[in-house]
Amino acid sequence: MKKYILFLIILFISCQKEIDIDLLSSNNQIVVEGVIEQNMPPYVLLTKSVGFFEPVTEEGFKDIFLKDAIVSVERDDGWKIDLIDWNDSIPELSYPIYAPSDALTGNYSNFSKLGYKYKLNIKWYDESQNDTIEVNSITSIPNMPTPPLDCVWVKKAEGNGVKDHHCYIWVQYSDPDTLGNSLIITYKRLEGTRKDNFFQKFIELARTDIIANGKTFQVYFATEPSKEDEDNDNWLGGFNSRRDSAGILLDADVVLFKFAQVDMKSYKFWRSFERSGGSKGNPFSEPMNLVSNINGGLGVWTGYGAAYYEVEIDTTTVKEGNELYQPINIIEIF
Amino acid sequence: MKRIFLIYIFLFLINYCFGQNNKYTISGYVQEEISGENLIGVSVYDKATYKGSTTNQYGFYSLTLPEGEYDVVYSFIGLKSITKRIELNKDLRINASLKEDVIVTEEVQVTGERQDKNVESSEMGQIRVNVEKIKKIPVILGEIDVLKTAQLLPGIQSGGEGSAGLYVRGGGPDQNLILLDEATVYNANHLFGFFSVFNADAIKDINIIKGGMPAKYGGRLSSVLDISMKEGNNKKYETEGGIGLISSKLTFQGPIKKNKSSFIISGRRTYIDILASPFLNKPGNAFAGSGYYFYDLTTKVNYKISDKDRIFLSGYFGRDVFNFVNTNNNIKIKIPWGNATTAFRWNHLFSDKLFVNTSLIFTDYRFAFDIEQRAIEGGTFQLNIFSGINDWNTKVDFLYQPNPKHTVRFGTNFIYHRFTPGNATGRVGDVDFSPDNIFRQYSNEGALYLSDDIIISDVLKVHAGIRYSSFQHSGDIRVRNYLLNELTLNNDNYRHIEPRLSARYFINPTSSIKAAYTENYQYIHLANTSSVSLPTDLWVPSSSKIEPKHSKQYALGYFKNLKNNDYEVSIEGYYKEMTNLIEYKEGILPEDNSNTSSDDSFHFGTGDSYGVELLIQKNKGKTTGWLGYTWSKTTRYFDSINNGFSFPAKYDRRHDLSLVTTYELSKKWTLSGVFVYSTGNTATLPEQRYVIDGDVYTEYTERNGYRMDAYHRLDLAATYHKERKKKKIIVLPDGSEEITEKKARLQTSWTFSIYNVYSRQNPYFIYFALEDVTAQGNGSIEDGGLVPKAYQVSIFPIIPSVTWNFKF
Repeated sequence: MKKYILFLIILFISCQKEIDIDLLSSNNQIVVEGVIEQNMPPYVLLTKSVGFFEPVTEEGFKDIFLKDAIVSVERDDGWKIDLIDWNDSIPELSYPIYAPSDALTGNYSNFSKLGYKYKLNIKWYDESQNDTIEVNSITSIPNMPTPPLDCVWVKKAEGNGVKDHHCYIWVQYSDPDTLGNSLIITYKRLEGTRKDNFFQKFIELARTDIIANGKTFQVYFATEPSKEDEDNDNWLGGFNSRRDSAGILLDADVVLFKFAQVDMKSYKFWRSFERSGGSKGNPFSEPMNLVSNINGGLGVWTGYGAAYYEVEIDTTTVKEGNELYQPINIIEIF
Repeated sequence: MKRIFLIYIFLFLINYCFGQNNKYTISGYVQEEISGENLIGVSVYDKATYKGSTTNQYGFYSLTLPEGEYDVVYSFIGLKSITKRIELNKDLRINASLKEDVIVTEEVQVTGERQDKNVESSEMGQIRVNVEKIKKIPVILGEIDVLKTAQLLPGIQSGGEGSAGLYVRGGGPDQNLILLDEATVYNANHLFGFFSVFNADAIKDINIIKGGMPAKYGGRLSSVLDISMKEGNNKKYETEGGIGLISSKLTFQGPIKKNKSSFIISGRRTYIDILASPFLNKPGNAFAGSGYYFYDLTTKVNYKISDKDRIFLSGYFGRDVFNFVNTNNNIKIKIPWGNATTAFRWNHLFSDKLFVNTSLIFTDYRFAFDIEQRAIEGGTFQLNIFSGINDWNTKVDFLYQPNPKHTVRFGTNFIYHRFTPGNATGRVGDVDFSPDNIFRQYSNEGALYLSDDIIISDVLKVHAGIRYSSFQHSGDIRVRNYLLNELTLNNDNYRHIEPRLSARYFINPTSSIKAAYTENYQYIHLANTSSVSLPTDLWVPSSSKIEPKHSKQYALGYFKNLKNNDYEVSIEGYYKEMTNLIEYKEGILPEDNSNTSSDDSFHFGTGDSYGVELLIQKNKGKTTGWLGYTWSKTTRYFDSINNGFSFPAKYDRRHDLSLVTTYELSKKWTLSGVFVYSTGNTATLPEQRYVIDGDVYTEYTERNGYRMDAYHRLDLAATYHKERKKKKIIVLPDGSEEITEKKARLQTSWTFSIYNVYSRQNPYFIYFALEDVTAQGNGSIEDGGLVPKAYQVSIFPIIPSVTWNFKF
C-alpha cells in the first residue's frame, strides 16, 4: 500500500542530489541461509555482512562467503549431524555450501521428519576480529496435512495486454482449522522458454491464514518478473513493467510447483524479506531490518514441510492434490 | 440524581465561601456587531481597577463587583473597544456588540487596553490565534492552514516539509487533543499530512495549549487545539469563497430568524483529479480512472431559545479518496478515509454567575483499502482492509464566577470508544473470507474535574485544578498468540488523579513570572508503522498489556509587556517526562493483527523532553507578527529498540526559529512574510549490507542517529483588496443631484504568494541505492559494478500561487 502512497508523493518531487555520509565502522555479522525439509539433508549457505559503503570488488565479493565454519544440526531428540563445506570436494560449485557429507546419496527420511525441531549451530573464526563467532537458530518442520492441496490446475490469463499463451497456476486449498498456518510458495521452470536453476518466488511469497483460517478456497499464483525486466526500466517504467510482466507463465512450460508450510518465525522472516522492497527509499517507512531468526547473526534457518507438483502449463492440466511429485535429491529442491 | 445533588451541595459551599451580600453581577454575551458572531476571549473589566473577566468559548462573561458606579470596558484586539457607564446596585444582564476597528486612534489604543493577558493570566503555554490574522500569512499553494500556522509557534514543530503534523514539546502526533467544536478529530490531515482538515473560512478561533493544560481538558499528554467554528451571521445573508490553484471553497451563512438563529455551511474540494483527468483518461492509458481528491463540509446552526438558553448543532464531514486503476492487469484500488463529527450543545444560564454547557458529541474516523483484481473470468480477487475509531461523548461543563477573585470550572465527561483496529475481508471467486464477526474493542473513558482561577493577592494568581480520569473496557479483548495458536481474553481498568497547577506572580505591572506543574494520562494510543502520521495508523486502547501513557511537565516562565503592551515577550522553560510510550515491534505490520487485538505488537518505553521557548509578539499597529525561537532536546528510551540505548525522538530538533510578519502597506495592500529555520531532522542510516537469495539487504543500526541538513525557508505574500463602492444619485428637492458612495455588496481580494522564495532544497528524506558504475550499464554485485550511494530528495521548490477570494 505504501508503494501507492509513494507513487502519489513522487508527483511532488522536485529534485534529488547525491550526498556524502560518513558512517561509523561496525563489525561484520554472519549471514545464514539454511534449509531443512522433510526427507532431505539440511543445507546452509554462509556469508558475512559488509560495511554499507565498503566498496565491493569481484575479489571482495568472493570474500563474503564463509569457509572453514563448523556447522551442525541437532534434532530436538538429540540426534546430531555435522555439515561440511561441499566446495572443498566439488570446486565447480562457485561458492561454499554446507551439507552433510552424504547429502547426495544418504537417506534422510528418518532424520528430516515432519513435526520435529532442529537446532543449527555455527562456529566461525573471524580473522578480522581475531575472535570465534558462534550463532545458532531453531526451526521446525511443520506437520502438514497430506495431501496439502485439494487440486492443482492451469488457466489462461485474461486482461489487457495479456497474450493467449499467458497462464496461471491455480490451486484449491483447504486451510486447517488452526490459526497461524503459514506458507511459502515457489516454483521452478524445468522446461520451456526459460529453465531455472533455483526455485523462484511468486509475487506473494509468504502467506498466512489470518483471514482464511479453516476455509476452502481457490487461488492463483502470479510469478515475479524476471530480473532483466526490472533492470531495463526506470523507476516509474518499472512500476508498469513489473505489473505487466507479473503473473505470466507461458504455455508449454513445465513447472515444479512447491507448496511449503513453515513455522511462524520463518514466516516472519520471509514476509519481511518480501515486504522490505516496499520500504527501500520510502520516506514514510521506518527503516526495516529483515526479521531474522538467527541468534547472534542475520538471515534465516527455515524448516519446510514441502509438497511438490510437476505441472505442465497447459489448460488441460488438472492434478489431484495427492498426485505429488517426489524429489530425488538435494539438487532438485535447491 | 445523586450527582446533581452533590453538584448543588458543592455550589452551595462555593457560594458560602465566596458570597458577599453587597456584591452584584454583570453578565451577558459579547458579539461582533456586523455578523452577530459571539466573541471568545473578550476582556471585560472595570477601567479604574482593571478587575475583570473574559468571555468564554460561547461569548459569555460574568463579572461580580461591589455595589457602585463603574466604567466597564469591553476590549478585543482588532475590534473597537467600548466603555459602558454602569450603576451597579443589582444584578445586570448586559450584552455588548463590538465594531470593526476601522480607524485606530492613539486614544482608543491607550484607553482601550488593559494590562495584557500575556502578563496578567496564570496560564502558561497557551496561545489564542485569530483566524482572520492567519489568512494573511503566506502558505503553500494558497491553502490557508490553521495547523501550519500553529507550527510557527515556539514549542510546536512540524513533521517535515509540507507536513501539517504537530509535535508539541517532544510529544508524538497522537498526544494532541484536536477538538472541533468540542468533537475530537482523530486524523486532522488531508493528503497524507500536506493539508489540515480545517477549512479556515468556517473557523472562528483557535486556542492552542501546549503546557499547563487546564483540568477541563484531558486524555492526551502534550497539547490541546481547541478550534471553534463560526456560528453564522445572524444579521444578513453572506456568501464568500475562494478559487485557488488546487482547490476552491464556498461558504454561505445567514440568519434563520434574525438575531435568534443562524446557520453556516462551508465546503471545499480539491481538483487535482479533474485537472489531471484529460492526461490520464487518454484512450489506451492503462491508468485512466486513477486520481486523488479530498473534500470537506462544515456546517453549524444555532438557536437562541431565550436569554438563558441557546443550542448549537455543528457537523464536519471530510473524505480523502485515492483511486488507482491499471487496466493492464485489471487492478482497481480505492483508498477512502476521513472524519465525521457531530456536536449538539446546549448553553444554559442557571444564574448570572453560573453558566453550564452540555454537549453530546459523535465522532468517527475510518480508513479503508479496497483492492479488486479481475484476473480470470469468474476469478475476481477482492480484499478489503478497514479500520477506524468512533466515540460517543457526553460532557457537562460548569463555569462559576462568584466574584472577580474566583473563576471556578467543574464538570464531567464520559466517552464510549469503539475501536475497529484493523479488519480484513476478502473474496476469491465465490469463496468469501469475511470473518464471522468484525473485530472491535469497546472502552469507557470518564473524567471529573474541578479547577479554580484564584486571585490570592494583587500580585499572586493561581490556577489550581484536579482531574480524576478512568478507563475500562466494556467487553473482553481477544489476544491472538500465534506461537501457542490460541486466543486469550483480558481486560483491565485504570483510574488516575491528574493534578494541574499554575501560578502567576507580578514583579511589576508589566512583567510577571509564572510556573506550572501538570500531570496527564492518555488511555488511547496511535500505533504507527511509519515516521509520519498516515491514514493507515491505528488507534488502540489501553489494556492489561498496554498501560496508559503518563506525563509530568514542569514549566517556568518570565512574561513582559513593552511599550504600552504593543510588544508581548515571554520566555518559558519546560521539562517533560513521559512513560509507557509505544512503538511497533520490528517487522510488525498492521495486517498481522487483522481481526484481532494488537496487544502483543508493541515495545514500551519512556521519553523526556526539555527546552526553552522565546516568543516576542506585536499585535498592534501597521506591522504585526511574532518571532518564536525554541531550543529543545527530546530523547526516547526503549529496552528493545536501539539495543537499549537512548535515542533522539524522530522530531528532536535543537533549534527552531520562526519569524512571521504582516505589514499594512496601504488600504489596498497587505504584505506578509514567514521565515523558518530549524535543525535538520533525524534519520536512521544503514550500517551493513548483505546478500540473501541473491539480493542485497541492509541492516540499520542506531535509531535516528543521523542528522540531515538544516531546514530554512522564506515565504512572501501580498493581499490586494480594493473596497468596491456603489454610487447612488439622489435628486434633492431643489432639483440638484447629490452623489453618495456606499460599500458595494460584492467585495473581492487577490492573494499572491511565493512559497520558498529562494528555492532552498530542504531535505525531505534520504535514500540509498545501488548505482551501476560500469560503462556498459551491466554491473552486478558480484563484479563490484554496483556501488551504494546516498541521495537526498527535496520537494517543494519555489512555488508561486494566486487565490481569488470573494464575498457578497
